[in-house]
Amino acid sequence: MSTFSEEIYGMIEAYLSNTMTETEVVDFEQKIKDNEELSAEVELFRNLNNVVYDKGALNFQKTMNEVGASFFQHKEVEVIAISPKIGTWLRQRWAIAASFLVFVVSALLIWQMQSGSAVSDEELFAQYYETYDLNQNIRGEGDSSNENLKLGIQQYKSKDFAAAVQTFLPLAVAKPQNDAIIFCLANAYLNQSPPKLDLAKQQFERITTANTTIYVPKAQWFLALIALKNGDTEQTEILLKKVVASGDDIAGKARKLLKELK
Amino acid sequence: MEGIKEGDPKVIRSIYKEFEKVILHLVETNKGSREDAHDVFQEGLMLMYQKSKQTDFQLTSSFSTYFYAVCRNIWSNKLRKKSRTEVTFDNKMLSIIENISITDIEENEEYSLYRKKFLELGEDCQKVLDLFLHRTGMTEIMKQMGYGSVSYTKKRKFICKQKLVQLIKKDPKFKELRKTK
Repeated sequence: MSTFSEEIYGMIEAYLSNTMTETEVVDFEQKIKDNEELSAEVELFRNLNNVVYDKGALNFQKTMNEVGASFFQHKEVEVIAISPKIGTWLRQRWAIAASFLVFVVSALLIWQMQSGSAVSDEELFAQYYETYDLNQNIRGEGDSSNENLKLGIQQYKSKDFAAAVQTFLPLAVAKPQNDAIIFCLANAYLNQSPPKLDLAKQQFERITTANTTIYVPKAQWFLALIALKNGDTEQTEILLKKVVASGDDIAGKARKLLKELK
Repeated sequence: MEGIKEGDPKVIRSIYKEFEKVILHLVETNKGSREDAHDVFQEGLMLMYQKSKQTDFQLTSSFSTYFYAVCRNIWSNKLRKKSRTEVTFDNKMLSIIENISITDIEENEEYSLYRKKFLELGEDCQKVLDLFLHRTGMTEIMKQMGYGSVSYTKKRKFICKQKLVQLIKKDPKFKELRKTK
């Protein structure tokens, strides 16, 4: 790695900032032609100027560095060893505490049911939302993606939803028109903990916008539940009416939820 | 995209949270390391930032699909250049990001390295180079930085620039970039 003198640095800067005379430019360009290393240095300086000049991108990089410092690291799990005696003692205390908690929660639920308080949107969501069984309808395309689709469904069924997202996402990118895959991806997002409602919604909306496959009423059903969870009752009702009108096997549930909302 | 355009740390954090595992999986299952994955992620996000600044830019699919396709192509390009393996661009992936060219990806890779190195400089050096690049006169730089003379200011500017160039040239990624040009 050679370093150039201060004089050469000055010449490169003068050349790039157009402050050389015509004769100096001609001479310097000849030097660049004859000297590969100098030519590479001029290119480097030119690019560096662009980088330093773009303050917005520099600030963005700075923010990424700060925010990203705790990501993409090897995560080490701290393991605390507990002696068998203390372990048993702790387990007993935990069991007592858990029993007490169950008692308090049960009492609260009974009290709420007896007092006849109105069911909230959140509770309705919990009542109606069920993890979709992807085995019901999903079909691949009989090509190499089929194996990955099967793998994703397997991960989904074993409730490893984050892994399922990782499997479905590349498939959805490679096959943007395949509603079956998009439907799988959307459901995997919806079941992640915590649920990725916005991402799931984006994917379900792709299906309803295209409006060409059997997945449309099901996507509308899940969009309705997402709207319900977000407290948008009006949108929930609009979507539920569409599901009811579709006559899909999910229409009965949609009708029932619609009644409860009213 | 609005949050990216504004450089909102909350938005950037949420993208990190959402895509860390996905990009790690993409890179680590294709002969890359965690460090490679982080580079790919940051370069992908920087490209999204650059695109968000263009008034005519429009996402042609959902953000997650688009961002994944961008990162996928960045990693394919790096793999191809490292010649660890032959990777051909997936046409479907390219069609999703038709408004981002290979030139965009390569220029972004180079500029990302330079940005990181610039940010490794001390604040003083960053400021001197920034002022100089924005055509501030030496006397004014001297005043703003509180230096004793114009000649010392010139010397500082030279030292800062030299340091930056050395930082860049010492990085193995720079050698890889040069090799493939």
